[in-house]
Amino acid sequence: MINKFVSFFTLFLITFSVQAFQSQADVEKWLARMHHAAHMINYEGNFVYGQNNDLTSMQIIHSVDKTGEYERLISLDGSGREVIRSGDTVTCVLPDKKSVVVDKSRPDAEFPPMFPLKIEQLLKTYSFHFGEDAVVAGQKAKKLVIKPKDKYRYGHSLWVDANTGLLLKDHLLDENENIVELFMFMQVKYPDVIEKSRLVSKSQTKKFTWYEAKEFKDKNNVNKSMNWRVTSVPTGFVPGVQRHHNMTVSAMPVEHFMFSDGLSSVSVFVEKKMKSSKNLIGGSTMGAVHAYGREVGDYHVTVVGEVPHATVKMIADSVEHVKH
Amino acid sequence: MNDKTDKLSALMDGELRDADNVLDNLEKDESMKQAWQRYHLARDAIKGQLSDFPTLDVSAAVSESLKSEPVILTPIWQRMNPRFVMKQVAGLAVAAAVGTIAVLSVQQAQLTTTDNNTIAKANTQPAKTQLASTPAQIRQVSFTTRKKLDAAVESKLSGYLVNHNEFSNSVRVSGVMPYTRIVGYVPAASSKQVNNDK
Repeated sequence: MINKFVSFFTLFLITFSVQAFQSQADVEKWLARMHHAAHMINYEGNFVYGQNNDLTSMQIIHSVDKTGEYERLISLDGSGREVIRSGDTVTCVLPDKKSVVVDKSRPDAEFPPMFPLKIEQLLKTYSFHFGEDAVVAGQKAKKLVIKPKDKYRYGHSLWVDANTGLLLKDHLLDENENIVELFMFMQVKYPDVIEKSRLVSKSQTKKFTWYEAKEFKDKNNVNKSMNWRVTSVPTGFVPGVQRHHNMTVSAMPVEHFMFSDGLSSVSVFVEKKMKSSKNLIGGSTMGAVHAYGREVGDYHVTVVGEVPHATVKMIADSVEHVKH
Repeated sequence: MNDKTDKLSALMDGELRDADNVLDNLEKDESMKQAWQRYHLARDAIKGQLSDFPTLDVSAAVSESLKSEPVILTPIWQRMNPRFVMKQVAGLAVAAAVGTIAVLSVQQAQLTTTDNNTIAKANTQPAKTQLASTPAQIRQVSFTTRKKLDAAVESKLSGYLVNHNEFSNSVRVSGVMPYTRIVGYVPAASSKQVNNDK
C-alpha cells in the first residue's frame, strides 16, 4: 500500500516537473523566436510608443540580407526625425536641428546577433506564464506575461505574432502594475523584399550639417583594472562590460560598469568631480528609465537603467573606492 | 605654456595618460585653471549650438568672454584639434537627440506642479489631449523629480543614457527601443523652426 502510494506520488512528481519543464521550454522557445524575428526577418509597419502621459507614432522598416540588418525608424509626429541602422552604422537624421549624425554601434556587435537570454538565469528573478491569445494589428498574437519576483525590476506583458514571432505589443509594468512604457504596432506587414531606396532618408540631408563620429577605439579600455567597485546589486544582476571610457559629456575618463538580470540592465558611471560640471544628486525619472546620483569624496557616481528607483539607488549607494 | 595647454587639450580629449598629475597642476596654476574653464566654455558653445534648452544661452556667455579676452581666446580655438571638436559635436548631437527623455522628465515635473499654463502648452495637439484623457492612459510613475533639473545635468544624463543603450545587452525585446526613444521626441522649439522655414 505504501509502495503503491510512493510510486503514485513519484509519478505525480515526474508529471508535474515534466509539465513545468515543458512550459519553461515553451517560454524559452518564444523568447528565442522573438529575438530571431526582431533581427532576422523583413517587416514594416506603424506603431505607437508611449511613456508617462504621452504617445508618439512612428514607422519602422526593417530588412535583412546576407550582409546584415538594415532598419529605418521614422517619427510620424512632424519632427521628421529618423534613425537609420545599416550594419554597424547608426545615422540619426534630425531635420529639426538641420543635422545628420553618423555613429558606430559597439565594436563587438555580432551578426547574426546571439540570443542573449538564459532561461535558468531569468527564472531566478522572474516568473513566466502565457496569457490569453489576442489579435494585435490584425495578427494572431500569443501573450507572454513576465512578472518580477521582487521590486527591483519591471514586469512585461508581451504580445508576440503567433506566425512570425515578431513582438507586436509590449507593456512595461511597475510593481503596482501601472504601465510605465508601452509599444504597439497598429499595422504590420512582412514583405519578401524591401527596396533599398526605402531604407534611406527622404529629407534633404545634403543641406544639413553632417557630423561623423570617428571609429570606436575603446577596445583596449574594456575590462582593464577598475578603481571602483559595486558592492551590492539586487539578486540576479550579473556584471557585464567594465571599461574606462572617454565620454562626450565629461572631460575626464569615466569608469563604466554594466549589470544585467537578462531582461533589464543598469549602468554605473564614476568620474572625478570637476568644478565646471554639474551632476545629478538624488533621483530622477524618465519614463521607465531611472537615474540616481551621489558624491563619494572627490568623485561622482551616476547610475542609469530601465529599472525602478529602488534598484538604481541601491546600486549607487553601494559603490566604493578600491584600495590598491 | 604651450606644453601645458597641449596637456589640457589632451586631457579634454581623454588622451592623456597621467591625468592626475595634470589635475594637481590645474589646482595650483591659476592660468591653467582659467584656460581649463575657457576650454569648457568653448565646448559648451558647441553644445549650445545643438542644445535642446533655449534657456541655456551659452553663446551669449562666450561672446561676452570674447569681448573681454579676445587675445587669449582666439588661439584656443585654433589650438582645438578639429577631430576632437567633431567627436564632441557628434556625441552631443546624439545626446541632444536622446535628451528627449530627460526633457520629458522635466515636463512631467512641471505638469505635476499643476501649472495651468504648462499644461495648456503641453497639450497643444488635440489628439494628444484626447488620448491622455482615455481611461487606458499611461499612469505617471509615483516617483518624480518635483523640481526642474539643471540643463547641464540633463545633458549629462542624456550622454550617460546613450552610453548605457550602446552597451546594454538586454534584449529590450524588439531591439528598437533605445532608438525609439530617440525618434519619438518632438521638441517644442523645433516646431517653431519648421514653421519659419515654410
